[in-house]
Amino acid sequence: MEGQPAGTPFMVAGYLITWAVLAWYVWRLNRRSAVARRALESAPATSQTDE
Amino acid sequence: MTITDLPQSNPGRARLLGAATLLLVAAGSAAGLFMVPADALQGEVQRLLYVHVPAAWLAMLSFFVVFVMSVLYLIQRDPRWDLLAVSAAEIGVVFTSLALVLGSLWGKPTWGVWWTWDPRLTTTAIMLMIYVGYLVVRSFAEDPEKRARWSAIIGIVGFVDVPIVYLSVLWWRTLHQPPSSPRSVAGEFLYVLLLNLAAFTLLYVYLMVRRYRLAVAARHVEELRLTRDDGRIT
Amino acid sequence: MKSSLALRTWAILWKDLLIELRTKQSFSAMVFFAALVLFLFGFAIGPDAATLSRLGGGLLWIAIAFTGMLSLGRTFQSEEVAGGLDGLRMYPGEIRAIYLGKLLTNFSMLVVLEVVLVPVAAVLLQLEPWDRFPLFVGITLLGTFGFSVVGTFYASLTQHLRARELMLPLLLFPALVPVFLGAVNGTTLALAGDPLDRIGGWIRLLIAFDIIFFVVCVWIFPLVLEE
Repeated sequence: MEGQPAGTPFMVAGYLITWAVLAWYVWRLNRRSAVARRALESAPATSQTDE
Repeated sequence: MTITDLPQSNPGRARLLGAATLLLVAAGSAAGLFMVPADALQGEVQRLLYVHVPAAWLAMLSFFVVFVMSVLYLIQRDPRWDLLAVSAAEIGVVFTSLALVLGSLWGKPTWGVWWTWDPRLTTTAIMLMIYVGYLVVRSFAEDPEKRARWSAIIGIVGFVDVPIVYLSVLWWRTLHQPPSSPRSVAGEFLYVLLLNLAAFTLLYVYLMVRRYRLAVAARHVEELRLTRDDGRIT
Repeated sequence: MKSSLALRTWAILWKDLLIELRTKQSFSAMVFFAALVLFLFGFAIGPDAATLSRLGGGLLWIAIAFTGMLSLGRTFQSEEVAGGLDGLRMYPGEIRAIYLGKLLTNFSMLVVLEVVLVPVAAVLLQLEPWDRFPLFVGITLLGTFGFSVVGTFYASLTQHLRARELMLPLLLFPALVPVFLGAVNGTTLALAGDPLDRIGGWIRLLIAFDIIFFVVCVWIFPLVLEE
């Protein structure tokens, strides 16, 4: 069982990466949704000024 | 073809779903990390199974969803199928990449290398490339209808290709590892794996809801911009 | 209807081959590009004859794939002048003839390229394809057909995209992994001998890939060109 102690950091890194990726993706979704919402709210005004 | 008649999203319900997902994923990780003993043969690193297998499962599920939504889009030409397809493709790319990274982290201490030309691993990488191509084509096509049609075609051809890629790599690598199916995982390990599979599947539903709403909103923005630009030109 | 499909396919093939015949420069440039790729392999791998001939099948197919990619990019270029594709589309009859015609054009162009390239590769990489020549030719044709089937399809799909020169290989190479594995391993076995009789599996893989993707691409093609 020589490989056992060496494996632990890889396992910990794997869980940390999983959580980081999930948190990052949800954060990205929040940000992109906010941007889209703001664009929708301001869009009718912009299109009127264009005409 | 507009999608302006879509129902408005309900952020409250999504938030509830998000909270439930967070709880279940945290419980799954806690169970995988602390409740079960380390594997007798592989030691602590075997705990990666509880996140690696669910990530790979979501990768395959996503690309199946892309295929189904692409077929539905080409039959019915309803933009909503297209928006569901792109949502599934993006989430699929996230989980395919995650599954590859986790597989690599598992492989280094177990096999001594970051990468082996194992059929499942290689096929997963090729699948990632196929669906990255799917997303890049979308970003290069301006017209929403053509973008939906072309990417649906890529979704279908890519999905037909994946099993053939797997078989060809399998023949190429006659020596291969048997897949880690639930049959080779026993007892309490199995329950923890099932818990994590359930948690990730709920996570998938949550992410799909969020990503689909974003796709609908982005489509609205795009349509506003297109009509505005049309007005300017004429 | 059937005869109209064959006639239209033949007309498109004939038209494209005539264009290629009148502009021979581009074809000779392609041949020289393929030879250049082989030279680069020689420089990268070194002059050791044993290594070169052991890797020969793979190197030959990378040269074919890269050159074929350049050739595919031009498939629909001849139609861009004066809205040629709209003209083709407006003729009555099967729209699939456009795909079949372009597919046969690409396939014949690549076969002509290989007729020139294989002797050059045999000299540069010290290959000996002559012992099992029919087998070598069969595998090359099957691989080339699979390449052309998917390649022509994705060339038609990416023709109107921005950055299509980048998009075509990005879509095509992952999809062609089975063709590449089948062709490289089959060619290597045909070149070096096949004591364990494994070549049949690769030939079956190539045939299965060619049939499946020919059917899928012919079937879906009208959706690609839809307006």
